[in-house]
Amino acid sequence: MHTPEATYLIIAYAVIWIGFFAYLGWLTLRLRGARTELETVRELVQERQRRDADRAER
Amino acid sequence: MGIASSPPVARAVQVVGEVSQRLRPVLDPVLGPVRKYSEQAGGPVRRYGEYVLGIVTALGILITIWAALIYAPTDITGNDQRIVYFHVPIAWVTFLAFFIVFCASIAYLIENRLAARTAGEIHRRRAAGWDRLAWSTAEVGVVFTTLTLITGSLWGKADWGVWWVWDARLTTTLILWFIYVGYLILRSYMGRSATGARTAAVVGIIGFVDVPIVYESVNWWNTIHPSQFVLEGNLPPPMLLTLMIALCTITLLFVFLLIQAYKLRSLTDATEELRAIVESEEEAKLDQYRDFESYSASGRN
Repeated sequence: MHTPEATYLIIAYAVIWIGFFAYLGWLTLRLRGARTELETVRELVQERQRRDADRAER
Repeated sequence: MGIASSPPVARAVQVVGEVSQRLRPVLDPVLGPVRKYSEQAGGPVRRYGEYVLGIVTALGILITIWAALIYAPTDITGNDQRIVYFHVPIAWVTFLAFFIVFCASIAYLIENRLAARTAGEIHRRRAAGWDRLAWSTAEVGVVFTTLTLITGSLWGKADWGVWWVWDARLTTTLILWFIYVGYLILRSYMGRSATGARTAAVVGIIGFVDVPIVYESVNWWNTIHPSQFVLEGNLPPPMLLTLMIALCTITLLFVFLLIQAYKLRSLTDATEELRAIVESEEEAKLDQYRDFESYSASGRN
């Protein structure tokens, strides 16, 4: 049963590192998306505040 | 009535809250500086720390791969046995992850109770922080459990000749995986609601019961899974050293991933909070407009 060429070892190491880096990549993509979304909402709020301030001035 | 608001759970939370209040004078000198750092340390300090952690983890990964593939001697069971240098540390870190979920869930329930009692903003913010920590750790923990199951299955195929057996250790680990996948499904289904957070905290606490069962399963039942050979001291020093290096690296990797997951959760929460403010303002303006419309319509009539 014990293979000298270590097939399962290679598969296991590949799965571990592909798994970890795929998860890290997925996290990075989601982080980027969340940052963009936060920036959009923040701009929306700032624009609204500016509009309200303009209205109050008038 | 949800399980989180049932009288026994509420009573338990109240007792834990009272105990934590009594322990506060003892714990504050220790937790104070940590809390201060986490609340005040500015962006550059944290970012620098994160870069250092990332570099150290990457170096650790390279050293561990070298130690596991070259430095550690070959066992009588062949090269496939080297899977153990990653399988065991990943499994240990899985336990650590769910222990953090357990502690963070208890802390969330306590802070949430204190926030409800005192209407304090600081308790509300701390409760939200503990909730975020529990959610992010559960997510990372599920990734680690998945890898534990896959590498274990590969090791099983190499050693026992089968991909899976309904052995006590394997089955309890699979149950652990299902519990925390269920936790994540529950969280994504219930969203950021207070009920969702409370229910998830209860699941996070109860789910942790399976961790000691997984750990002790090799002692409680007849299993073909190896026993706790590391703690028994039967491992040759080079193998033990390799395992310890791998444990440090995997722990660092876990911390690094957890920081990213926590950051993501914080950003998502901030966005949703901001959006809720915008929507409530819009709703208020719409209400004003509707009132004005109905008022002018009644005037016309």
